[in-house]
Amino acid sequence: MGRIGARYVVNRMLAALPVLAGVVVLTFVLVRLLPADPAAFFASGPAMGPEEIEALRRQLGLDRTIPEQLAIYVRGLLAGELGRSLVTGQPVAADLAARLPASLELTVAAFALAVAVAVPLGVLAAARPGSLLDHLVRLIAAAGVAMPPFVTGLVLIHLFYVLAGWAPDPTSRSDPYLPSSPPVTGFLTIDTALDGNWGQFRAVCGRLVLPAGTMALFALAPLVRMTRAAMLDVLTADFVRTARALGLSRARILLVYALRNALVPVVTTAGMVLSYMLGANVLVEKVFAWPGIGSYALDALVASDYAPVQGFVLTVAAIFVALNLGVDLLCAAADPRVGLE
Amino acid sequence: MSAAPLLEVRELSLAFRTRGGTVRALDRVSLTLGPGETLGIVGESGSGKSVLAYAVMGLQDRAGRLTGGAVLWRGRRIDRLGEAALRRLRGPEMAMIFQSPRAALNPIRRIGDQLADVLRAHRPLGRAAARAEAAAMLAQVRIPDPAARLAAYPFELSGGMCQRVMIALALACAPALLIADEPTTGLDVTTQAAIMDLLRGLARGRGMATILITHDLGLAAAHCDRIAVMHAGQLVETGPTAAVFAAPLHPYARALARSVPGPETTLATLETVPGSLPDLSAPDLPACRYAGRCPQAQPRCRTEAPPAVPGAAGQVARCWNPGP
Repeated sequence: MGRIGARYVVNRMLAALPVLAGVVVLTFVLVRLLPADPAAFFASGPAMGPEEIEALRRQLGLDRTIPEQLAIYVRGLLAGELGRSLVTGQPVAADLAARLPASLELTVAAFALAVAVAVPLGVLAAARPGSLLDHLVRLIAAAGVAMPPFVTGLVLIHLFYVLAGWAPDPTSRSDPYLPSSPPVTGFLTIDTALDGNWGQFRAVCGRLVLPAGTMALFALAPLVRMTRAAMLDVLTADFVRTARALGLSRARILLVYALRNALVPVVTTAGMVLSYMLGANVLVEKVFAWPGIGSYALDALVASDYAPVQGFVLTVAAIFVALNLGVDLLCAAADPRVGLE
Repeated sequence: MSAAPLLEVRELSLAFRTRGGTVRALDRVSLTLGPGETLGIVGESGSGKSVLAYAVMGLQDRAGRLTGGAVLWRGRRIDRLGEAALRRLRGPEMAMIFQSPRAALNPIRRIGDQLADVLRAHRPLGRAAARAEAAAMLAQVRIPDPAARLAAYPFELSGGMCQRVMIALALACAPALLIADEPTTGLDVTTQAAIMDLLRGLARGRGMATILITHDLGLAAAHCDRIAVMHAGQLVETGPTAAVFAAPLHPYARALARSVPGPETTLATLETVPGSLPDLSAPDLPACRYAGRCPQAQPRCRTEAPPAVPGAAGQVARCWNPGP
């Protein structure tokens, strides 16, 4: 794509820096507004008195003013350090790096599943408005909006694990009784496949189905609605009438003429849904005991462990920014009229 | 007309079901068209010209239903055909071009690909062959440097160029009938003339019949063998172009002919057709839908369908009280 210059990409990334800076400051301040005292929380041994707690507070730097603490944190950020987790005792960057693949694998699987179901459904519903399928699609869209993902997750666990017994227990990403494969990408599906470890591969896929399905149900509604609406809009366009008047096949009209022209709003929505899924991960990961960054951040939040929460928000914000750029690049690729300047 | 008709429309009626009631957009419209003939359908906006054209090609939108009559193509009924059978007619037998040519082309597909889509929808052509044929079609519509233009997107071309591309698309499968729906509306005057000359030249060269839908009576007079005048979904007069314009029988055709501005016409002397189209969703439409606007209307114009009255020069009007 000659139109999409490297300069554009660089400019966009530079423009994202103020956003990320704002995110850093905002989360830093918000976390400290929480009505909890990390020093008291971690000094919960029986031998700990007020003096010990005060000493711990000094040691953690919590006795300084918030601007001072922020300055220290930002200095660390600039050196590439996200701080240390009080719960795990590890650097937050290392914790996040270790857990990010689990979150990404879950999100990507859920997103792929949602797109694979939503786009064909939306196209078919738009092709026959008012049909049974169209009504079904609208029902799915309404239900998806009405059900929060952690509720869907619990319902699915109850149905498929507790009652039917088809799903593996929702406590891990892989089968602990099968040999594991050496980590290459951190995506267990890919790592086990690379290793030819097909037994574990099946176990990993099986454990991915319910959480990914939960998140996919959540993502399905906006995607299917936008696909249907964009398709309905394009199908009334003059050039679709032209295509019919010239005897093009129905499949070609639907897929090449209508769907490709409906792609820009669908891709934009997909980008929003994907970024939103990264945030919504938090509760789904908790429900399925998924060792990702969402459950990590939630545990840290409950423990008043500031650094991991800040690191999580910053990571998700960076992914947001990258996704938005990716969406704009994809839209430009889908529509030659879209200029990138 | 000596040859068997290519297209015959028999007493065709069409209604749109809308929230505001049933709009009876076509009322027992009949016409025939021979091979190679050029028919102009004229009338003011909303008279049903385009609806008739879409109905012939089976392209009416979902709300539209044929409520009577028939469409015959080469003597065979096509108004009840399914989408698959109609698809085989569209392109190789009849094709259509539209107003606002830029909107009529797929905005994000290269014009070479759009041409190849049409060619390959009807003929077993390989990619390279379709490409060569597409370039040849662009050359036929006199687009300069056709091979290079295959890669262009519609937004990179002028309106006139887009209409040439549209004509190339429509003629790609050598149809026997081309329906041109206001093909020059929105183009500047010199481009209009060039497009009309191109259409006429191509139609003559191929022996292709043409239906020209327009509200520009001058355009219709200059390019058509025969004229059909429509008003409010009814066909009120048909006949040879000269007869319909020089000696119109139907009061509406006469009013239309008078409303064509000449060189001496000023705004003060310009005549218009008085009144406006009746509401086609009204339950009590008069039998002749011009009755409400007609200076010589009689009571039976409202109650009885007017007869077909032949004129001296071959024109036929549907009127109880045709003028000289």
